[in-house]
Amino acid sequence: MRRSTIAAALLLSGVCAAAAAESKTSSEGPPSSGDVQSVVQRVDRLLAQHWARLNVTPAGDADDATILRRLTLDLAGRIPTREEWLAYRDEPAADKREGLVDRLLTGPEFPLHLANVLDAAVQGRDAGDGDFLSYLRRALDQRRGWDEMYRNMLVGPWETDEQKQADRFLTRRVKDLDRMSTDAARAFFGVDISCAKCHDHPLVIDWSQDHYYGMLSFFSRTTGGKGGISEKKQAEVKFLAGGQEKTARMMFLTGQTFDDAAAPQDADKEDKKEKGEGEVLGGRRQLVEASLAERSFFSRNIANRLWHYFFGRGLVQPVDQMHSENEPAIPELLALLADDLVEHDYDLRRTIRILVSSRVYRLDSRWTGEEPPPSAEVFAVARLRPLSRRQLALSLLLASGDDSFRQASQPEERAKAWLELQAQGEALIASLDQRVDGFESSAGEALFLTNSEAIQKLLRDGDHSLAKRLSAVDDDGELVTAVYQQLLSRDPTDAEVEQLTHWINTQRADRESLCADLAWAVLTSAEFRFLP
Amino acid sequence: MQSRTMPTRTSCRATEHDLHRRTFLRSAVAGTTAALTFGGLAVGRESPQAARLRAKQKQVLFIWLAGGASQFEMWDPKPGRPTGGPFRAIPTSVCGTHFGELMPKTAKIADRLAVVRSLNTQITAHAIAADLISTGRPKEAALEYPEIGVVLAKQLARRDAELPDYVSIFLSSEGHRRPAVGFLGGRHAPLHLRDSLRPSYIDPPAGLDTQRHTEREHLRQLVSSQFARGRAGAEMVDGYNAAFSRVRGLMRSDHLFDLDREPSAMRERYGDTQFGRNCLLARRMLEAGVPMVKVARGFWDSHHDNFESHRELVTDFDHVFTTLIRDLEDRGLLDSTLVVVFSEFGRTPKINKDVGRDHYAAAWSCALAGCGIRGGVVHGKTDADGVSVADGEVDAADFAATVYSAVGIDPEEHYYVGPRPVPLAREDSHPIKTVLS
Repeated sequence: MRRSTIAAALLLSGVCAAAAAESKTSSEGPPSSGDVQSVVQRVDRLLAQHWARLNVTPAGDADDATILRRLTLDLAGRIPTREEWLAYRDEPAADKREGLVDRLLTGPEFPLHLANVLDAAVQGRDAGDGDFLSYLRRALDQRRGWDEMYRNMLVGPWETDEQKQADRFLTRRVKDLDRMSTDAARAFFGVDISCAKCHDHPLVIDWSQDHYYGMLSFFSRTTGGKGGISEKKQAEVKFLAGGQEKTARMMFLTGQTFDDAAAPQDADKEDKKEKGEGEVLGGRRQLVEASLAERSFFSRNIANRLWHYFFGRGLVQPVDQMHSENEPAIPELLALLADDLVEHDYDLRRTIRILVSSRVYRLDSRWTGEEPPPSAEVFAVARLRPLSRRQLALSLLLASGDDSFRQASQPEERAKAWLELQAQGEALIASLDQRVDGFESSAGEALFLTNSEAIQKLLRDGDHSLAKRLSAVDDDGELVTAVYQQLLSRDPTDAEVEQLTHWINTQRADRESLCADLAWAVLTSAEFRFLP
Repeated sequence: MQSRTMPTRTSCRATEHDLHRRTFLRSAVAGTTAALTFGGLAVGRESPQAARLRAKQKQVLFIWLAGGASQFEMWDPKPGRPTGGPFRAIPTSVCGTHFGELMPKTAKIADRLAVVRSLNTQITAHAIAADLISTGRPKEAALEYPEIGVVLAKQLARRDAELPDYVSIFLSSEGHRRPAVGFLGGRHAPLHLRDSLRPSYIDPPAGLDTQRHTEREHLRQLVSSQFARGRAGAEMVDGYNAAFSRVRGLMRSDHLFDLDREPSAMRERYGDTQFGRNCLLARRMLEAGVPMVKVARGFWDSHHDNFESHRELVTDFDHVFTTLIRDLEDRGLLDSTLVVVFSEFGRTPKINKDVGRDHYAAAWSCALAGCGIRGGVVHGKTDADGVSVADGEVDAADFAATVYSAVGIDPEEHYYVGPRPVPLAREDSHPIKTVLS
């Protein structure tokens, strides 16, 4: 018998419709045609070969609870609700994981969350611009391809206010064109050419000063400010190479150069065009066309960045160090994913569906072998990943029980509730640690989680606080089960029930305080902070 | 993460690049090119252990005059010149060295100070200039550098210390800066006091007694450790739990942030000003063993009424600064504590129509005292009107190299960011030998 029924009934009061509603949200039916399946099989095969070559036996499959938590955090940016866990746990269908993937990918929260992910990847330390996020959400909702979004970001069109929201990559960098071109190369091609500014790259034979100034030349005519972006008629880029001054030509990373053909003959006409129709000619358009025609840099970069997001490490790592001396961990795999993107209109949803349907995504994060777990680029075990600040803030708010979110069963309501929670979470994120490669926790975050009123309020604020609701559960075992289901979206093991029941019995505090402490300990535990 | 030792050189010759490329290849083969993160520290000429021992027990205090203090009214007066302003120059305890007349007390301890009058840092925009002098290098698009103070905190940190490695006190609202950790990562983020001299979240939440506070933390650690067992990436959980362990230490040290624990005579000595209180707290932190402390004093951006504002600001500085130096000296801390007074830039020789001075980076001053510093010297000089550096020009990288050298850290040591070697101070920098003991 499941341990949860009574506690579930208590916590579910008022939101009983949600679980039922959520199990049948899918509207379009799984588009995961045989086509996607065949790519997934090729991904699985390449990894199997990779493991065989390294003589490694991968970890086993993760359990239902881990898969649900992983998929929901990765695709909706939040932890699963208790109701979602109970529904998923009890669903008998053999292909329930596929159904879940499909619900999440077609659900209202996916574009909201993926917008945050892409914003961080493209904007780096300038992430968080509300307008840019609105643009990304809309573009993803309309299922625009990554190529079109790239075009929107670098050349427009920027005629309407909505369209103009896409220009924030440029407007944030227009006062520093070096940074604009270096950041563009990193964000869209996975290449860091900044070391080649003063001399040919000391570490990477691929990048010379010509590459640096060639890239800069695509951006050198960019001008404008918060009001908008335009192009100057002329801006020559000169640089010193071995003591001699050179004039740079627009040059893509492949070495292909471009003449300034787009520089208009008639300056007045160009001005009119820019101001009247928002049309932009010249350098950036050259770059966009050249890179989309070349395809390799552009497609490999986004494929690698998506892989990095789902597995905590790029196939090429760091993600902005794609060059000949830093081969992908599994070269055929990166090529497969990149080519598939090109063939399918840079549909990010498709690639994401492939990645989360693969065996490697299902692997457990527990390593049972005698030896220490194999290093990250073997991808033979899931490595813990820290939640992003937004994922954590949203999850903290949701876990402490915002009913309005769970009651929102219609997609529009759900999207609205998600955005409201995210807005509420803004107050928390300043005190949380950012997810970066080589993540390290700060004492500042620990202090905040331990002593701040904001966190205390999550536990004890109001008549329906988490602590109050939990304290209504009389049986200690059921209380532990309720805490685990509500906060960790899983059932506790027998050992955990025993251990926590024992802890409860040694406490002298009143029931509500005790529940608050129990919830706090789980809410701030590593299992909540990291993705298993 | 890896630690490697390799020889370093200052030049950027082809052989150097070959060497780095080989290092990179080796690590690529070993599969350790993993993350864009701090990946170990290599030291030239001596072992890392030796360097650490040598640098032990040393501490650093930065006094940051936010907005840009005027060198004319402080360290490099030009009385009687068109650029000099209304104040006189006064003799100091060092024969032949003069300071501005607003610093009579500082003049008396000039023999403990080294003044650099020949900074040329070129940049005159607040934020960019502050980044430049704080990190010792211009901003780079692809790599975020940590501030010198963050590097010092990491280098001078004591193992198992309960207190943070870096306490930054910045209570003025203008020119506010939180020290950037750059590529060094969250573990090195300073304790930053912004709203109050008492750190945020250092008191337990209302209604939670010490016993429950401890009990729930034990449970948190237990649940976390069980989760981490056997997981790939468990070292992140260790770091997460370690951060919570430091919470206990900080809460136990809360009395250090309470200035009422100082004798009233001492509080009176520092004076009843915000800067006085900040510096008294800084001294308490240093005495308790915090390796890196920064106190910011705003706001020196005197585009209007430069002389009136400096009369107030410099007078306050003069009193508090000398009190602090003497207090450190009385407690035997000055020998092991480097004190640095600096800004993002100085102020223009030209006095503008609002009787103000604007931003100026072509010729300005900073001052140092204590650990590793030769007292009573002046390095460099400006021309008669203070318009340009006449002798001994130094830049932000030289400044950084000097600070590192003073506390016995080799500025040529390298960090690794992925495969890329990053020296603490820029390759072409030179410590200012004149001011080093």
